Amino acid sequence: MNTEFVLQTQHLKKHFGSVHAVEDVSLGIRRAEVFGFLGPNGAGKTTTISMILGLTHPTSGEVQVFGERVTPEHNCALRRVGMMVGESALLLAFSARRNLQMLSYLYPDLPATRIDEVLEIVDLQTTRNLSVRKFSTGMKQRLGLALALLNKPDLLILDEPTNGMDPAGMQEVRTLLRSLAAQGTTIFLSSHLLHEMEQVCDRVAVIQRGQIIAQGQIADLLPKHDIVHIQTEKLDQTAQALKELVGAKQIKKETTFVEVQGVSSEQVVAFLVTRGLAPKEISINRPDLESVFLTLTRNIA
Amino acid sequence: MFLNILRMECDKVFRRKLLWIGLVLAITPMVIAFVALLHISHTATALSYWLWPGGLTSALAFADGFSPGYGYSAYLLAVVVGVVTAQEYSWRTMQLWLSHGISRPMLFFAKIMLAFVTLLLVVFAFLLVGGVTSVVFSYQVHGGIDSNHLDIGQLFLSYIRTCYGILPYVGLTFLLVVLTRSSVIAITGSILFMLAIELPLTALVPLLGANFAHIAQYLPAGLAQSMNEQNYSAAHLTMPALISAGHPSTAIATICIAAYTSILLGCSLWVLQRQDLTN
Repeated sequence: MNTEFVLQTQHLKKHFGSVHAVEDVSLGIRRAEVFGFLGPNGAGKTTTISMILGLTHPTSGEVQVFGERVTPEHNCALRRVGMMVGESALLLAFSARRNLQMLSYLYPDLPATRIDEVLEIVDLQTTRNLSVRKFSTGMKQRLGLALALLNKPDLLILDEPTNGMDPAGMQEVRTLLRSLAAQGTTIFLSSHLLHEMEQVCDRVAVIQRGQIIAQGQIADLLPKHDIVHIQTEKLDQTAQALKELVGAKQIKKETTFVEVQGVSSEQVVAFLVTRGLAPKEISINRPDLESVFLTLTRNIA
Repeated sequence: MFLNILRMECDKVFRRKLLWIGLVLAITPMVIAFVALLHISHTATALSYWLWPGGLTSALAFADGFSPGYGYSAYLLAVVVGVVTAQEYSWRTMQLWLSHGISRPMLFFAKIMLAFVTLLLVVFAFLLVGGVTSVVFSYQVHGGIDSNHLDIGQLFLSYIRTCYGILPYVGLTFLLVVLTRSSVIAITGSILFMLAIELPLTALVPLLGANFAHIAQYLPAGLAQSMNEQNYSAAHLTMPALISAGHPSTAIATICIAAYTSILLGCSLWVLQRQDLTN
């Protein structure tokens, strides 16, 4: 295992009988990095996170947090971790403040003001004494986030943290995560909101059917060039001609346009004009994380 | 760290209305029974069970059970332990504590210890209310109380014996909670065991012969009865058992209760240690 990583998994597997929920997941998350963990429903995200948090016994493989092995029997390293996995884990019979108070018993060195601090961070000061049963989904998520932040964790593991929040709340969380990362907190973030992931994460891994199918910086995962759509009446000739353009790839003839990747729109226009095939209209489709994710997961499926 | 976890567990149990409402619901039938039984008792011997200090022993018997299936505190304990612990699974707070680096055995032992403290509190509440009720009755009947007849040492031992006799039910509820992660199943299972298994077995098995009767004595209820009988004996009263299959000696009962409790809690810990807590 490499000590440069705050969190590392190696060849992690989890089989539930004949169901292979996680199959050989190896990840390495560096200090102060925001790492995105993407995958469709049932891909193995939550099972992987459960193994990282020592909640589930791996069938094989290893998890290390801060260089220390984590298993359900040995989970001391998690003292420096804050977590929020799926629907927030809350004692519904108590108030927001009491929920935080109980967790604070496990961290006797925390200053007495820390509870109010985190309540303010997640904007729950005014409802701190209200029973959590009366909370909306978004408020529960905010409290879950407060619980995750309470112990000033060095590693924050979050699964769908903005689920149920309004757009303003989601924006606040994104800003908060970036500011925590800037202060040195490492963040492992799992979410379905690819737009959100693209805005917040430094690197991402895509999991599909229990296996990592892509991993790296978002910029590296995105195609280097835009997708160029060429509207023309001469579809066949244009598609044929583009095969001779250096760098052009994945040329597709659709019903009303030709699509090409690997070259810029300027290169396409210049090339087609020299061939006497000047296009009627050129449009650019800029690939985002969502399109990369959909392409990757569809290819595997 | 263990003390910090214990503090957290204390909040979970004692800051909820569940325990206090449950206590009122469990103790009210005892007070009603005290009043009713006092009014149908006409001899001095019969009255002594409801007057000071005999009322204290009777109160402990209400907590532990005059007979199998009548131990109100065991029901209350099943409800409190069942609800408080099983909700940790459904609310997913079990995952929260464990993912903060608490070891499973430590969390388990904190929960067990809190269950024992709750047991002590519940039985004490029975003793207290029973004591107050018997004092009131004594003033009504005799115009005062006879404090010379109260042996504090024996009363304390009776209190401990009563709590001890209930331990297997706490163990059973824990095992059902950990196995099923459901408060409904754990509570129903524990109460069904007391009412639908133990009670009929203790009542019917002796009818099959002396050997079968002997076996029935070693059910947790029979062992608790043995503790109860010792309490009555210490208070110089005869145990008014409604259904009796005979009881093993106090020493044997002590060992058997320890064995039941250890096995049930040991199995619970074994299951918890191997449990996958994925959502």
